[in-house]
Amino acid sequence: MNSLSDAIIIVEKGNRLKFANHHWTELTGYPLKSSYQKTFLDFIHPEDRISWQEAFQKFYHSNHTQLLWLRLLDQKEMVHWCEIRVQPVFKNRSFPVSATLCDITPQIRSDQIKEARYRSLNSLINRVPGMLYRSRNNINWTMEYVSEGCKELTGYKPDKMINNAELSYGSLIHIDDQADVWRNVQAAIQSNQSFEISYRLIHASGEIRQVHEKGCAIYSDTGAILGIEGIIFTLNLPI
Amino acid sequence: MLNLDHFLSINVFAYFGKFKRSWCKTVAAEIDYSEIAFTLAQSDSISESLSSVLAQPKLHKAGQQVFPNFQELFVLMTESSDKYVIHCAGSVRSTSPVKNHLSAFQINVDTMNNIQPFLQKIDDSNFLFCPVFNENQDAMAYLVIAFKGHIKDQTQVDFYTSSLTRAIQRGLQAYQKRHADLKRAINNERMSQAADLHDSIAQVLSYLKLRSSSLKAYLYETDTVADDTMLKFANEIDNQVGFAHRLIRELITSSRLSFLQTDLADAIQNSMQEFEQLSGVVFDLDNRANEALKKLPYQSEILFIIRESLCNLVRHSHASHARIVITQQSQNLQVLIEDNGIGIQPESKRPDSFGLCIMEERARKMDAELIVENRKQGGTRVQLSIPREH
Repeated sequence: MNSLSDAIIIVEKGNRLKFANHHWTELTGYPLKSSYQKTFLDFIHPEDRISWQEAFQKFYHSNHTQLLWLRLLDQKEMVHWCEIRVQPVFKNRSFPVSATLCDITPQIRSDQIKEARYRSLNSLINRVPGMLYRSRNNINWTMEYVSEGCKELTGYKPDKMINNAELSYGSLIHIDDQADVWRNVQAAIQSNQSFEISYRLIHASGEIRQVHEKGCAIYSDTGAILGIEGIIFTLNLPI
Repeated sequence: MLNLDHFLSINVFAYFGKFKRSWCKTVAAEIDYSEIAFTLAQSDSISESLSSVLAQPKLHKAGQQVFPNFQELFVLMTESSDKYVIHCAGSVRSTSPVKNHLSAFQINVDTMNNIQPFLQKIDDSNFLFCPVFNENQDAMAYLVIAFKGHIKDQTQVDFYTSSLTRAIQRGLQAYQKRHADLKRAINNERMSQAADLHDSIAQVLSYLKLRSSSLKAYLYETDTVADDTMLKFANEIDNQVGFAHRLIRELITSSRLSFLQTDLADAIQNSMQEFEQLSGVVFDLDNRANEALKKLPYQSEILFIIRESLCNLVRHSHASHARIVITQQSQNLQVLIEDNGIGIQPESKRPDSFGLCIMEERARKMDAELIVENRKQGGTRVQLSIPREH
């Protein structure tokens, strides 16, 4: 048990530590002897103690293995994120319980970085004063993705337009401009070029707005057109 | 034909019912429940008032008549979503073996959300939990009666607990309403002051700031200045007007902040999320002193300093990681805001940047120590040590 790379502990009623393997000392920095004089709660981050108690209560009532993530504080007061699995030691008795602790701090840190990158990019895209989109190359311009700018540009929420849930982007283009838009976009993407067009859009309020669009096609390795990506915005500058 | 057995049994129950009612009336006559409600409703410190209510000998006497081996009376009050405070006769800090049993019992919020009274055996004592509801009919507190042995007479128990629970409920509801009204009134006043400041002095200062900057620029450009004295004065005026303008903006902001936020820990969390949304910085909040944090005075000052630090961090630090660690020291509560950015360069500080001065001013107001320095490992460290006892 001491050779395992996860920490194993046995917890008695009242959260008292009855046993810990060598990896426990590696994880927490506390020697076994001083660990046994404490309760397991003493090692848990104050904010996470309640989750442990809840898991413990659930375990007490159901006797089913419980899995939870919480923070342990080591001897130097550093935080270690741990995945903890609580299981019974004896089949028909609630106490003592054994718990396996796996240090997942690096995984949590890398997840946090990924989340921050995603959040940063996502909020950037959604704050841009314009609508970023990815659409299919069809006459309705079926939208696979539109940014939050959709609301300002068209007056409709993004979810109404994605996959033509309630309306298609194509139906918002002024009827006299629809053919030109299609022709110009097709001409550009057939010759592997980006396009830049200007046309009239019917806003949800009924108002007609002049919009500008810059976009390009996305191609597969074999050259097939998979969709269109771009940005649509209004110009408020006097022309 | 008259069923004699039935007749007898009715009479027997009627007799005992009468006995119970008369007993109940005696107890009721001795305990002044409206006084209990009034004491709580008028309270300035709920823990002191609850402990004086729970210490009433009459309540204990009646408890001893109702419960076999009656031990103690408690009130558990919610302090936050996951925390109960145990109030008993004597101060909150006083302990008894029974209180220790109760606090050692892992009070689980889910199971505590009972709307019916329930019995819990903890070690060798029985604890009867009677919910006390707020105006939304959520359990805001529990009256807890500790005793040993089995309940023999449910009617007496019901009468005792329901009268007492009702009195505590009325008192606490009135207390909470009074405090909520007070808080609302203070907040409304602050909001209206903030609006007044915004419309009056802030506008004038904005104008003055523009004019003083223009004056400075004019004096630089023209050669009419015989010596540097006039330019020096113009610079000073411009700086001071800038400082006053920034101060007034902060006053307005903090009035609004105190209106928006109630719980400091939540407010810190919200502020962190707000700045997180506006940057690519990975933030980590490590709050190890939630309870101590709530008890500190000058909550809006603390929030302001944290927000100002986060704002500087996002604007200037070039950091990818930042963390806020709140810990409890023996004398102090320490708030640490660290990042792994480029650190601070004191020599490149702009003369019109007053953020740090205002942070220091606020720290001084609450006798706290504020250290802003470069970390050995790179990046900036803002350390705020707030004394726990004022």
